[in-house]
Amino acid sequence: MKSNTEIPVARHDTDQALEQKPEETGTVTIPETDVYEVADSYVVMLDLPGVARDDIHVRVERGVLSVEGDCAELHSTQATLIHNELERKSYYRELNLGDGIDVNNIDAHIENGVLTIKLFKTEQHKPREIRIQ
Amino acid sequence: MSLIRWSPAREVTAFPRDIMNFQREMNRMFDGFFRGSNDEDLIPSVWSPAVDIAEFDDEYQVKVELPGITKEDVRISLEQNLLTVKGEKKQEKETKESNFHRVERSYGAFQRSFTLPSSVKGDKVDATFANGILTINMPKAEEAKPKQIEVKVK
Repeated sequence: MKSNTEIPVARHDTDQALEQKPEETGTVTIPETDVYEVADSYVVMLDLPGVARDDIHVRVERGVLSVEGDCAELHSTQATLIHNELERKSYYRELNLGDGIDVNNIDAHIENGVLTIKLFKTEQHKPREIRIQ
Repeated sequence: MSLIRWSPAREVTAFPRDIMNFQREMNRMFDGFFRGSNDEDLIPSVWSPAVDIAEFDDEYQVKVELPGITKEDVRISLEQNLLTVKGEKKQEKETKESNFHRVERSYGAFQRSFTLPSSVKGDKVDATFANGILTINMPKAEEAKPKQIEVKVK
């Protein structure tokens, strides 16, 4: 298991997105990520091209959401690469979760190489309309 | 004591990655400076997906990294040896109207073009999408396949 100190991963607090986009290092790629907020949840979208569903692991531990994915072998051994830009082997990213997230209510699904994680807000943090008496 | 052969490649790989990243960042800054900031308003931004091209004895295989794109959003054309892959990645409606905290993924029009080293059978080209990677298979034309000629020694 990779520890936080080994991989310089950008951490993201859903309440304050201030740090820069991370740089890639070694064979671990930091997937490009979008985070947006809707009324009842935060939605995180990560680009994980080349990763099959069974090779993705999403975990929540002590307020940190981590996503790990391994790429399947891209080319047959008989091929000669005449142009090479895809060097991705594995992906890893961590996101700090704020207080307002219900860690027991998280959905994740992958489609066309994009992992979408829906982090539902706790009841307290959902917007509420107050009726005027 | 044994002698160790000097390998220039080893020196290069030992070069600190941080310095290389720094250099890349500097180049990017200079590029942006000389291009001027007004250009962005005039030219619609086009992003370039990463591409691999593999050669087999009888075909070329092109792989394009296009996460979040469906087959309806991509156009592949072949004009003699020039292969062009283009399309557009649209933002979903829900995404547009909501409150963004972070945007790193690319949106909008994309395009890549490549000249293949030899001619291919245009009518036999096929393409598939899997896990956000587009794979295009192009069988080589007969004249482009490697031929073995037996030479008799007299």
